[in-house]
Amino acid sequence: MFDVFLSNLPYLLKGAVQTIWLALAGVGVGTALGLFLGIISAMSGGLIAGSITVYVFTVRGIPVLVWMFLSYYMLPQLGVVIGDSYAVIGALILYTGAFVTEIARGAVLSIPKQQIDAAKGLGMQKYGMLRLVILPQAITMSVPPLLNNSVMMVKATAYVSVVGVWELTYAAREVVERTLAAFQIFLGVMLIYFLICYPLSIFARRLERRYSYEH
Amino acid sequence: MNTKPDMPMICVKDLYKNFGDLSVLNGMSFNVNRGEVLAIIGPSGSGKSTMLRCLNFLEEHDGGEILIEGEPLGYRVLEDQTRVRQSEAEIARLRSNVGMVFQSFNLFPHRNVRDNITMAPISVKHVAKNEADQRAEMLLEKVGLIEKINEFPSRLSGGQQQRVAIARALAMEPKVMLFDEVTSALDPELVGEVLTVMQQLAEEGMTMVIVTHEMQFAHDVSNRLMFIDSGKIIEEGAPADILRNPASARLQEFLHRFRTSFL
Repeated sequence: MFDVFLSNLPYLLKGAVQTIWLALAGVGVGTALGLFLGIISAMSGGLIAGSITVYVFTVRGIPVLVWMFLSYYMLPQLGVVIGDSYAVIGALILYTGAFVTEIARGAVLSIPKQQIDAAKGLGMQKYGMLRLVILPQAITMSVPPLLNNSVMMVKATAYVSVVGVWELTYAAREVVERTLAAFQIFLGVMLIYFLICYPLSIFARRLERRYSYEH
Repeated sequence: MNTKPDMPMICVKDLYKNFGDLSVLNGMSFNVNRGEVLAIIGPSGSGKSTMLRCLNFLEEHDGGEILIEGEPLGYRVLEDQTRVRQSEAEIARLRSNVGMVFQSFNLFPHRNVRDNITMAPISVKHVAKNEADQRAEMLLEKVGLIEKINEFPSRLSGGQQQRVAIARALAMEPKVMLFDEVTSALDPELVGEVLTVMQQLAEEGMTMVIVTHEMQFAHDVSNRLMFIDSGKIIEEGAPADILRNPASARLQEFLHRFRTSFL
């Protein structure tokens, strides 16, 4: 029954590699950006925290597909020619970053004030407190929502096919147009997406266990 | 250690603290001498915990001055009476001389007992790890918890956590220890083990300021007792005198309520 899928598997796997690359670049860099901005936002105040809030609210309130269209069509008009893949990766980074900023900010702010008092009472300064007391506890708390967000964003890479960037979903549509075996192909594509996302869950569980302190 | 024997360990001059419109401390002045154990009692909301937190700059005072061994804490008051806030590094350095133990223990839940005790000496005072480990073991022996050295705080009872918190504060080799109602969150059965450790510290000559509701302990351990209400010192003196012959009506009422609540 799955012979069409199997005969097109090498082509689909090429698409999957492109999906993984988009995910690693977009979600990876976006997560790093979000963690950085979230911590800065929670630890600082005034203009810096305000600017980060504006970024989060603006980006989060608009669908990722619209950001992809914007970067895909608008950047060349502004004279910025970076290639289709990079344009959509930019949108993925921007979007992932906004969500992760809020996750990281929330995790840092959820550390009880008493922990900060204890650290200050021992003569620790901001950086030491952040490194030794706040971040280790915040990381434990933020692993599940970060994983959730990463899985969502990995799947959001499928949107890039709409603006014509080639990846797994785009490759699947090509195969379906050629073979008309939509059911087989998309069932197989489901399996490939699952196999990409599942290791992320395993990795997050390991992280959770490693940083868990409720022994 | 650089000690200045003639100087009071803590000198509080005309201390004021407000939370918004609420005046919590209204011009408190007192000294704590080296080796002295000062117990502070007072009703809830009288400002005793806020005052104690000011002594470690966990609360920033709005007026007056705090000197630790003659060195101003938090703000320097210039000749024209303007106040200049000290740098974060300077405040941290002064804080590390003043150990603080909290009502809710505040151990770091992600680190085991050993790391809780060695973290600050290693990161703040740059003590070598093996030296910090040895000191942690010595302090845990002292508070009777050496067998718990590799446990996480969540596996300890309240009394054990509080004793680790005392060991953690002592690991910084502070010149003075502040205790903020350290037995209030404990089961009555666990109070004794914490008070024993504190008594031992007092006998060793540690300068201590203790905010407490344990009247008997305050009577037995402190050299001086201070009763505060509405952010002011109402009465202070030798514990036996104050508790047996309170001069002010406010303290008489407080002690009367305190005694009748146990009948």
